[in-house]
Amino acid sequence: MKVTNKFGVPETLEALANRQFYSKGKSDYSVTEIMSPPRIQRLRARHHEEIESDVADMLWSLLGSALHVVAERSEVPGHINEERLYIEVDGVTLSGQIDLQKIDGNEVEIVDYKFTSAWALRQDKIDWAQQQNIYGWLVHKIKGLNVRKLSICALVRDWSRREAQRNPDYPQAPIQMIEINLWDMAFTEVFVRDRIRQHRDAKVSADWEDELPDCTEEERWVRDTKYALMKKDRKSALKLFDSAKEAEDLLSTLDDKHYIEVRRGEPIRCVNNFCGVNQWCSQFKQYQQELSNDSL
Amino acid sequence: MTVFKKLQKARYELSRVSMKKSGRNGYAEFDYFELGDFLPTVHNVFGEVGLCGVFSFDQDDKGKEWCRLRIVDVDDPAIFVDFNSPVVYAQMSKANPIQVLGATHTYMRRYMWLVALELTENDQVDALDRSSFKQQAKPVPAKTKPEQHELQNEPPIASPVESIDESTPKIDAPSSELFVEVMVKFGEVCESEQKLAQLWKVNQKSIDDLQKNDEQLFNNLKSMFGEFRTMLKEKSNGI
Repeated sequence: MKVTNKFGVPETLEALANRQFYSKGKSDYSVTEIMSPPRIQRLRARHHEEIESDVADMLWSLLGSALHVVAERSEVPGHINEERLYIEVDGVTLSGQIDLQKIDGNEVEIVDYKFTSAWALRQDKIDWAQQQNIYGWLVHKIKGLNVRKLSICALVRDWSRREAQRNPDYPQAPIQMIEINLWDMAFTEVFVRDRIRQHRDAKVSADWEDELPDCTEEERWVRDTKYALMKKDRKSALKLFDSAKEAEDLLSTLDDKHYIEVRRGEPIRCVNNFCGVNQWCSQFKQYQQELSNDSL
Repeated sequence: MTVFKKLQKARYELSRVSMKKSGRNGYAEFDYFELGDFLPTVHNVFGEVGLCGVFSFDQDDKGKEWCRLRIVDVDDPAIFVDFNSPVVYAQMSKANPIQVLGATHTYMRRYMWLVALELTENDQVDALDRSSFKQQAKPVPAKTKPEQHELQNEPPIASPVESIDESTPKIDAPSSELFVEVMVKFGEVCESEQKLAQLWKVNQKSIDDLQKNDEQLFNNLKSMFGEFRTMLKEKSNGI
């Protein structure tokens, strides 16, 4: 990956950004890897040398790495920091680095640190649940411990004291502990095996230069199309609808100053290039093509 | 009469009653007892001999789930016989978690009653062997897009995971040239694209090393496999 420095940040940070903090150890796949969409993983591997990222955009990832380094130095009896565990699954080695294991007898609580926004904290984070449950399964399989609790220690990067005072639903402190529901171990194992299978299949497709498996709507963070009931001389919608019919039904009862504006849903991750590989992605190109056909 | 004697009497009475198996596994081609086929008769016989069946789920110290069918002597409820089994969850690709749970309960109840009453069924292992034979002849396409799970609270739905055929060879060759040669030999005899892909997958680590260290040889291997795929496609299209 090419690291650029468009905003002239000190070379010290630039050098840190160039260092490879992420490692999957001596494994074929890491938990982080199998959690991400196979298409994105393959495109990143294929275009690794061409992908560009600016130091300024890597701030939170740098701070995340810094937190892990600092946490590693903490010593509390019964706590294991930053341990990488390995397991053989269907002939491949899977590894996962667990931020914190709090061991009490034959029970364990697993904690993962995450930098996140106050907004994201209030959304359903299925990927957090998936990741933590895979870690729980790893610890259970390898150490034979019973997983008592899974949690996320969320560090809210844009926390505002004022907003916390004003809104009781807003996180009340810049650090929040979020408990994750435990899945059945048998379900988790099936989930892990299925994710690995998808990645192995995608690797064969990449080697054979076949079309890569498409990202799902969830993986592309597709925002649904909305139908906005608008009124002339007013910028914001009077009401948003999920279906055109509902919007039209209401419109038919109103005067001709009202109209419907279609707010087309879009794949947020692709459009904003949060995956980092949209320029090489045939699925994204197809989406753009469909978009331009629609606007003709 | 001891609880064992009562249970044995109930088994004998049940063996004299003709019960119809209304369940049909069309895939593995065998009939099986559904709960409704035998439970009314069982309740009747149990009532006569003085037994009662109590079914429950439990967890051991390690969190492992067990189910239990307790046959209680109704004349002395402190006397009972337990039948235990580990719980295996039903795998249903399109079902939601509560449906999976319901199916699991039904299956486990059925099996536990069959064990306790020694009701006979066809050997399901034999039946499954037959079905896997069929599966080889007509491979079921792998599911490429499993459902995503929308809520954090919701575990993934257990879906069958395609497992790699254990007979697929993992090649350990002393040189890259020999590795490619052996891969090509095995590739030549693969009967389907699926088997060819499995051969590639099982040897992925060595293939990755080959790509890193000898791109020319890797490209040769890839092009040979490309030819095998074309041939297999033509064969399956009857060309």
